[in-house]
Amino acid sequence: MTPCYAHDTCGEEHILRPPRSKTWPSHSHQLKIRRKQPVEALETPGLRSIFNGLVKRWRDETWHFSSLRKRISHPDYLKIIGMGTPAIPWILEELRKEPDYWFAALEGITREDPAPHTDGANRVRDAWLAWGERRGY
Amino acid sequence: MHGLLGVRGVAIEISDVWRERVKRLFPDLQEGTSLEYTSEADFNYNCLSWALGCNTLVFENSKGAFWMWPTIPDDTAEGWAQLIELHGFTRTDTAEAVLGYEKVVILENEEGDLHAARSCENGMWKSKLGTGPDIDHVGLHGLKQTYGEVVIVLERHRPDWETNSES
Repeated sequence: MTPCYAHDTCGEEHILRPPRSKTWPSHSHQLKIRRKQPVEALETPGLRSIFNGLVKRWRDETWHFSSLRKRISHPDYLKIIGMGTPAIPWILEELRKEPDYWFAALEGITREDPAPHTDGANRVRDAWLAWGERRGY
Repeated sequence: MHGLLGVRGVAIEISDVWRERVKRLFPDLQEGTSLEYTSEADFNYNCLSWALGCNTLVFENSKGAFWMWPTIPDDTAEGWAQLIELHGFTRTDTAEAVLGYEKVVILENEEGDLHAARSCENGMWKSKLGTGPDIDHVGLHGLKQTYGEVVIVLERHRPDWETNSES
């Protein structure tokens, strides 16, 4: 107990600092919340269903093109790249179940290239799937 | 329903998803009448490589694809024709079947999208549809809605086709 400076004339004694509230989060807990928030938001079913919709429309509108460049410059493909890291496991899943030209998207998001001088699409696909396994996807 | 087109032993079943995709973009091709599927969907090659008989590489100057002709553009009908000429074809005026000759046609639509198809010994045409299946088809009209008009025709002599073994 210390004298009350605000009431130096009142003669009362007060606790200078109130005891820390048990419900107030500690600093480390706050940090934990900050780290978790974006992941929780991105893992919502909404984003996954947006991804699925983009994939379906991209396939429907571009499957018949002979030009890979035309396919990977389609707005929906670019939107998928724009989803960033959360889309990686979903793209790898697509690559496993219905192989397609996901290499530019994966390279764009990860800035990695596990098959730099490879011609065959299947070989590039295998390299990306192996990359995914190494990274725990 | 297969075999009506005389494509012996090569017509296959494909998934309903791919059948629907093909129907939607090529409504003038009727399976069993003017169209047979001859492969599953495969992203390892494209119509240009398939027109030259290759089913292991995509011929394009892009990642995961193959293009060893740096002076030839990979995205114009003229460039494609130059590549096809390197494989023994010469330009001609007509896509009509001629006994003893194999033909390759290049189609282009209003957006500049290209497609290539090659003739078979039995008079039908072979096409690889994008990343989808290969088809054998009667004539070229059924491709028009999606792939546009024939802009270049090339041919090469096939002495082994001079006696038509399909007949």
